[in-house]
Amino acid sequence: MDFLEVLAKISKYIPGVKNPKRHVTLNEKILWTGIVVVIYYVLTQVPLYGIPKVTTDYLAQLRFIFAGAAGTLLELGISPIVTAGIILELFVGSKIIELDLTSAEDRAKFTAAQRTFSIIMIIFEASIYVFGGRYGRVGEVISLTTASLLFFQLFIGSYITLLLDELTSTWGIGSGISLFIAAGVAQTIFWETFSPLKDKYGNYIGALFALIGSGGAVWYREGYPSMVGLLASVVVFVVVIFLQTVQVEIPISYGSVKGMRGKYPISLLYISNIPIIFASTLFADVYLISQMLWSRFSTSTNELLRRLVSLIGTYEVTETGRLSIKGGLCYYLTSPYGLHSAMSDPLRSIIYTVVLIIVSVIFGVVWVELSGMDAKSIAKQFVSSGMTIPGFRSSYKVLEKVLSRYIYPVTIIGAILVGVIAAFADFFGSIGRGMGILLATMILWQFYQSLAREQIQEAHPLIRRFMK
Amino acid sequence: MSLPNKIKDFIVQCERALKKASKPARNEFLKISGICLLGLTLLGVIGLTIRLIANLLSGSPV
Repeated sequence: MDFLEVLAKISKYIPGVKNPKRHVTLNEKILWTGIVVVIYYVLTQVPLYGIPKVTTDYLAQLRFIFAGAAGTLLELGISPIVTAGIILELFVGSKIIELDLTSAEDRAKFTAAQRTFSIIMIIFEASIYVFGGRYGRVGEVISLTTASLLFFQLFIGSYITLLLDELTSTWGIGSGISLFIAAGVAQTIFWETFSPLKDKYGNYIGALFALIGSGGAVWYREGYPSMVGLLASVVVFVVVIFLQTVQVEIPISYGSVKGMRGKYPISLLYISNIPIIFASTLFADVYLISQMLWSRFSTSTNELLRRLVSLIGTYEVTETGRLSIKGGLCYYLTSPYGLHSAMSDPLRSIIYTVVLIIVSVIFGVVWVELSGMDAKSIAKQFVSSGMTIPGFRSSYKVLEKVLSRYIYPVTIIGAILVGVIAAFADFFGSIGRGMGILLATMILWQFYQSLAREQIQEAHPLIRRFMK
Repeated sequence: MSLPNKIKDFIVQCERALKKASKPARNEFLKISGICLLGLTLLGVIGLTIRLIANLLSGSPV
């Protein structure tokens, strides 16, 4: 029995959501999806019991990817589930674990193993958070009892997230993970636009109320959400939807059915938001490690160590106790947010944009190879399903050559576009952050397609039986 | 093939892919934008409401 089979067997003993035994109507699916959204939002407002008042949110840079909310039951967000999924997918994609995801049995085994591995990641991340000092050193700032209580709360919060994800994918529409990401970004956009509350400095949180409160004068505020930022968010939203619908259509025909023709669409954003997720995760991790190194060694007596740490990143402690980047390599890996900071150091803006694009392209090309979206895999799928491209022999070598003429250019063009959009959205201080809006827009687009598919199946039971 | 030629060849492929790309029809684009905006608004309104209630109950901005 290999590693995956062990995980899959354990999964049977983990309470989960039962698959429906009957057809779930579209209205029921919409209802369940709505219930999941409300539960998710409520959980992000339930504070953890036992934590000190002021703490640093290590996942702040990644919050729009990992969802959840700092200092609440969903502190870890979807990070354990996403991390577990990526690790197992990389094991399978790189053939470390032999699995044929096209067969139903192996796919079921992979899904079961992923559940168990998510639980393991929840335990692992919760332990790192609590006993790694996120809420203060155990034994100094918080007692061991409080630490254990915090661990238990984090575990329960993340386990409920896992169940909500299962509930969405079995009884609802689309994937729970995507739903939480989109929900997090949507809440941020509406909160930073329409919140009537003021912060402790007496400034309105919502951009609209700041504009109204100033009699229509304040269109831009540095360090605060603004109407210019909202306009930037709308522009990103529209541009992404347009790019998402631009497609390269390759004519195809079916060898077994004479005269039957079709088109194989390759979206201009072929690799969707994957490059941005990996690029921003990489930058945030480097930033996180650099913060820890600087906090630990910036006052070290060892000259060489001090210089090395400063080379990676130097910081300044703000009034609220947070670290603000001042120099070093990390200075160029963090996005200048807002027109003022983008224009006050144009070199940083240019370097950040170029680095983001390069990293995006690299991740894009790697992901296409690893996830079976490359020309060879698509060509094999064509041949195995009897499809071919008119005017070319039906061998997968020939099809691979034709497909690679479009797949690789589109992958690189898509990665560049996504990188440019994300960078410029941040420069204009867009509400919800550039990468967040990119993600939310693409997720909503995928939900729209799932909804359309569900409607077709609802209206035509014959098609539903065919697609099952 | 030398690197400059590879780059030139790749740029030609990019041009070919962009030329072949089809843009969405206007009403299709407007329909999709509307539905996605509706989805974002639905999520945003629910999220804003719950967060406002939580803030008012706890009395401190979360």
